[in-house]
Amino acid sequence: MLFITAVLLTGILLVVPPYLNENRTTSVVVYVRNSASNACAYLNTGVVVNGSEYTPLNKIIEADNYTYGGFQVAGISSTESAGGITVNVRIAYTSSGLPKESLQGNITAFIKNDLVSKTNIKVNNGKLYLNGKELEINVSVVRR
Amino acid sequence: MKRGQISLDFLFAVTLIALTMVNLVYIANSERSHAETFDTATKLKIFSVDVRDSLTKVYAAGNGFTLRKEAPFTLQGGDYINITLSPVDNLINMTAVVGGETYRVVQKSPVPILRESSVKLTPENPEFYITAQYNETEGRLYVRVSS
Repeated sequence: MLFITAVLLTGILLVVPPYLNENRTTSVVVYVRNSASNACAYLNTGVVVNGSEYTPLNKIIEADNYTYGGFQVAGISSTESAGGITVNVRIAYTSSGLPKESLQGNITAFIKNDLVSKTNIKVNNGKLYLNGKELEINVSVVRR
Repeated sequence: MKRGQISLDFLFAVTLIALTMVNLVYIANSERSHAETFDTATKLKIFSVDVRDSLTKVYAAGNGFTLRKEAPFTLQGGDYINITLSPVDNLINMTAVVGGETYRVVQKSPVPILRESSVKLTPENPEFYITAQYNETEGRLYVRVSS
């Protein structure tokens, strides 16, 4: 009886950590995806909402004259290494006359703030951490 | 095999499923607050386009034509929508406070706005009028909003 319990517990010890790990990576991708698509939806409405969390995006809307910018999440990918998780987000847009660098920076800032305020991701020295693992978010924008 | 062993195994399976479920609930919950803001923002955007089109309609109909418009949703206590026609850059500015959050939409007016006019929609007074008025001495058509 004891032996069987021991076998079961060992099995559980073997199964649970990889499961949780997989769960975490999936969650992170889902969180980032949600934040990115929220950012796109917000930018497309062209309505400025006064709230500190929207400040980076409001700059883009004002630069775009409150019009529809055709923002869309074009793709998301993640790579996992010993150091942490890297999530790459690609965002496509159609509006002209928007400087790419500030777009990238502002959307990244929004996604980071959103993740920190809505999930259990912590920020330390400007870097994101999830349960001690470093999380890197790269946003690239392409004009179609 | 005794019964206890199966239930222990089963218990762990349930724990893992529960973990996944908790995660799902968490994601759904965080989505909701965004969705609520987005809902109001979209309604205001549509309203601003509607006001812009109505303005054009009134201008086209000419002197003395008045259109009655209403707030796009029921305003609660403390909420308001402020609509301003600005002759600077020909803009329709809309500022709204709904549920403690401030929203701002700007539309470019296709017809000339010659004089500034503004109206504030409140829960007690959620309707307003868009009027066209011909000024004979100037020979120009004024459009304005009024409550």
